[in-house]
Amino acid sequence: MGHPAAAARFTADEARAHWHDAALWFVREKRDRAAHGLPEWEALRASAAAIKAHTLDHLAYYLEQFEAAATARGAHVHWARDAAEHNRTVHGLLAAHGVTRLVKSKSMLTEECGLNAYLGARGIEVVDTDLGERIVQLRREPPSHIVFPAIHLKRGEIGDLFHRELGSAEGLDDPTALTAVARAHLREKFLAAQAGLTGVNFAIAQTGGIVVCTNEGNADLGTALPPLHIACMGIEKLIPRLEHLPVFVRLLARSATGQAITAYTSHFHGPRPGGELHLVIVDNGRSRLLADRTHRSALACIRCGACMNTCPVYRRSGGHSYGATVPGPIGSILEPARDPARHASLPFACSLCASCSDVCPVRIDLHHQLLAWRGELVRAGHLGRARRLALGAAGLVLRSPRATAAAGALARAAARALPARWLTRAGGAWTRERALPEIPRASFRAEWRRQRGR
Amino acid sequence: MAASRDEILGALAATRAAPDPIPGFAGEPVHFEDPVAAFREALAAAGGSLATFTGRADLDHALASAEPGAVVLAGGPAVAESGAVWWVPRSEAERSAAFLAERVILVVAREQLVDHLHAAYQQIDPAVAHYGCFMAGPSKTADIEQALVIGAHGPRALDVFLREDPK
Amino acid sequence: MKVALFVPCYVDQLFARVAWATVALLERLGCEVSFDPAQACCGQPFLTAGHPDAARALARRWLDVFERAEHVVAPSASCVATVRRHYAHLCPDDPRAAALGRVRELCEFAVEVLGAERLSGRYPHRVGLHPSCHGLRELRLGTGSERSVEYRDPARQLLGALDGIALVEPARRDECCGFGGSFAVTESAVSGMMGRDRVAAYRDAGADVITSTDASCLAHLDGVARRIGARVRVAHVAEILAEASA
Repeated sequence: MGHPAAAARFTADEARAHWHDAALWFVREKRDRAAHGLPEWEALRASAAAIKAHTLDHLAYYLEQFEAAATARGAHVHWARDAAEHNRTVHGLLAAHGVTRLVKSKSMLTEECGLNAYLGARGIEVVDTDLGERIVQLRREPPSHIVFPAIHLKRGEIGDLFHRELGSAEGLDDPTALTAVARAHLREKFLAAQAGLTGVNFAIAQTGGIVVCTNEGNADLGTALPPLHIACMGIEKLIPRLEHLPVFVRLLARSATGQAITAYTSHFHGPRPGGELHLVIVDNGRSRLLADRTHRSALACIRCGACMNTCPVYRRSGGHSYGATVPGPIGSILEPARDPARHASLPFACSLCASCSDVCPVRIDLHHQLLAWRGELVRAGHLGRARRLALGAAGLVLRSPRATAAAGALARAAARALPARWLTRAGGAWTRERALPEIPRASFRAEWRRQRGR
Repeated sequence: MAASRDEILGALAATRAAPDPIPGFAGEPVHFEDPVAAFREALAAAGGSLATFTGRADLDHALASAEPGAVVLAGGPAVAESGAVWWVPRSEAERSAAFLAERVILVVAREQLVDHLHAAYQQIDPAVAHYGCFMAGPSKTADIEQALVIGAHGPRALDVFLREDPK
Repeated sequence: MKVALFVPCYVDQLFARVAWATVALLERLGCEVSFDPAQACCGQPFLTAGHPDAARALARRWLDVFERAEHVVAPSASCVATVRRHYAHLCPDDPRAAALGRVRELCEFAVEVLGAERLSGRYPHRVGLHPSCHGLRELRLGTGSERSVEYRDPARQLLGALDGIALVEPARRDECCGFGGSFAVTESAVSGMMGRDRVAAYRDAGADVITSTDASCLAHLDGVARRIGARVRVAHVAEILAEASA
C-alpha cells in the first residue's frame, strides 16, 4: 500500500489524526522556542552543514583515521557492506560470547537492517530499552517516529499493553505510573543482560570515540553493566574532530525535542577494563548515495526528527503510512534510494511547503531533493506509464497557446453545461474534498484581446 | 571482512584525499552576564536543581545529610547554557552506581562553570577515559503522550552542588 | 514604467478577475502593462508532478516570450518562485535562465520597485493573509516561523495600510494550506484535511476574508470552505487592493 492509501486510512479517523497532528506540532513549537532562544542558531546550522559536507568529501580519509584511533584505544572495528553482513557480524559477536540476552538502545540503523528479527530467530532475546521502542516492540510493530517511537499511541493503549505484557493493573494509564512499571521491568533486563548494543549519534575521527545521546540513560545502563558493548553506525556518522562535537550536540536536542541537551551525552573511547567494545561500520547503500551529487547531502542527517515534526503531511498521516524505516521528509529521500520501486510514492507525499528545509539543523535542502526524486522516479517508470504519458500530453498542449486556449474553452463550456452532480463525479479526487470553482465564460487572454486588442 | 572494508573504502575512493582546511564554528556563542543564574535555570528546565555553597564546611555538611542511597560524583566543567556537567567515573562501580541510584549529586567548583559547550569541550579530553558523560538533570522520558516523566531508567533526582571558595 | 504581465495558466483559464485586478493595480501605479498572448504555463505543475522534461520545454518557451521584458510581474508567488529559483537548474545551458531577478510577485514589485509604501483605500474587514509557501520559503517574502531571520512582507505591508482593515493572525501562522499542485489530487485526503484545518484556523482567528498572493492556494481553500459551508470569502490580494481603491 503506498502512502496515499495509508494516509487516507489515517485521516479517516479525523479526531485521532488531529490528536496526532497536535502532538507533533507541540514538539515543533518546543523546537522553535529553543532555536529562537539562541542568537547563533543560523550560524550553528551553517557550520554544521559545512562540516558535514566537508566530512563527506573526505569520508574515506576520516573513516580510516577513525578506525586507527579506535583500534589504538582497544576497540575492535568491523566493516559491513550491507544489512545482511551487519546482522551476521553482530550475531557472530554475540554467539562467540555466548550471549542470549541482549539489551539495545535506539539505533535506526539496526531497524533498517532488521536486526531484532534476525537475532530473535537465532535464539537471542533482544530487549529494546528506550521506553518508546520497548512499547512498539511489545506491540510487534515498527516505530512511527525516529525520536518518539510511540507517539502514535494513546496512554490507554499503552496501559492495555502493559497490563497484557507486563502484568500492570488493568486500566492504569497515568504516564508516570506506566513509566514506573517500565522502569522496574527494564531494570531486571539491564541487570540480566550479557551484552549491550547501542547506536552511534556521532563518531569522532580524530579520537576514535563514539557519542550516544539519550534522555533515559538506557544506553548507559545497557553498557555499564555487561562486559560486551557493540555499537553500530552508518559510515556517515563521522565528524572530523572533538571541537566539532559541540556544534552538533547543541543543534541535536534543540531540534529534536526543544531541550538544550539530552540528559546524557555519553562518550565511549575503547572498552571498559576487562570488557570489549566492538564498532560495526555499515555501508548498506550509503556509499552509493554519496556518489549521487543531487542526493548526497541527505547523508548529513543527524536523525533529529525535526523535519517530521514540522511536516504537515507527516503529522496528519503518521509514520507508519510511509511503510519505511525512516518516515517523513528525510525518509522520503533516503528510502527511494534504497528501494525506488517500493517507495516511489514517498517523495509525492509532500506539498512542497519547504518547512522541513528551514528546520533541518544541518540545512539539507530537503524540499529540493524531494522534487528531484519525483522526476527521477517518473523517468524510471516507477509511477506508471499512464501517468507519464498523460503528463507528456498535457505538456504538449500547454506549450501551445492556441491548443491551450481551445482546450480551456472546451473544458469551461463543458463545465458550465454539465449538471453539478456529474461535474463533481468527473472532478475525481479534487471534488472529493473541495467544491469546484465558479467556471467563468472566458479566459483572461480572450477578454484582454476583446478589450485591449492584441 | 577485510574484503568488506576494502569494498567500502573502494566505493569511497573519491573521498580519500586528506582534508584541506577543516571548517569550524564560525559564529559567536552565547554569553551570560550571570552564568550561575543561567545554569540554575537550564538545570531546572532539565529537571535538576542547583545548590550553591561557599567554602568546604557547608558543602560537606550538605553531603553528609544526603540520604544513604544518593551517589556523590565529582563533576566539571559545568555548562551554563544547558545545565550539563561533565563527569568521568572514578571506577566501574561508580559508573553503574550513578545510573542505578535514585538520586545523584554532582559536585562542581564554581570556576569550572563555562557559558557554552564549545568552551567545555576545550577544557576536557574525553579520549583519556573509556567513558565520560555530560549529565543534564535526572533521567527522563516523554515517550507516553509527550508527558514528561522524571526518572525513566536512571536516577529520579539530580542535584548539582556548586562550590565557590570564599575570597 | 513598462511591465510585462505574466499570467499563471490557471489564472488565465479560471480566475481572470485576479489578472484584471493585477492590471488595475499596476496601471494605477503608473505602469504601462503589456500582455503577450504567446505566453504559456511556466511549467511548475509538470516540475512538481515529476516531469522536468515537459517543464523544461515550457521554461524555454517562457524565456523566449519574456526575454526582452525589463520587468515581469505575476500575481502568483509560486510561479515567480519557479522561474527565479528553478529555471537556472532546469536550463543550465541557457544564459537567460541565470538572471531572473527582474521577475517579481505583484506586491513585491509594487513595494520594492515602484516604491509604493502604501496604497490608499478602504477595506473594513477582518482579513487573514495566508502566506504562500513558495513566496515565504523560496522567495523570502515575509518572515517564516521556523527561523528568527526577519524579512519584509510586501503584501502584508500594503494590506495593513488600508483603512479599516484588521489583519488577523491564525494559530500556526504559516502552515501549508495543502494545495501542493498534484498533491491536491494524489494525496487528496491529507490535502483536504490540511485545507479544512487552515480554514478553521482563520475562522477561529475571526477572519471573514482569507487572502493570499497565490491563486492556487486560494482555489483550494475556497473549494474547501464552500464544501464545509464555512462563512468566509476567499479573494486574491490583488482583488482586495483593487476593491479597496474603488
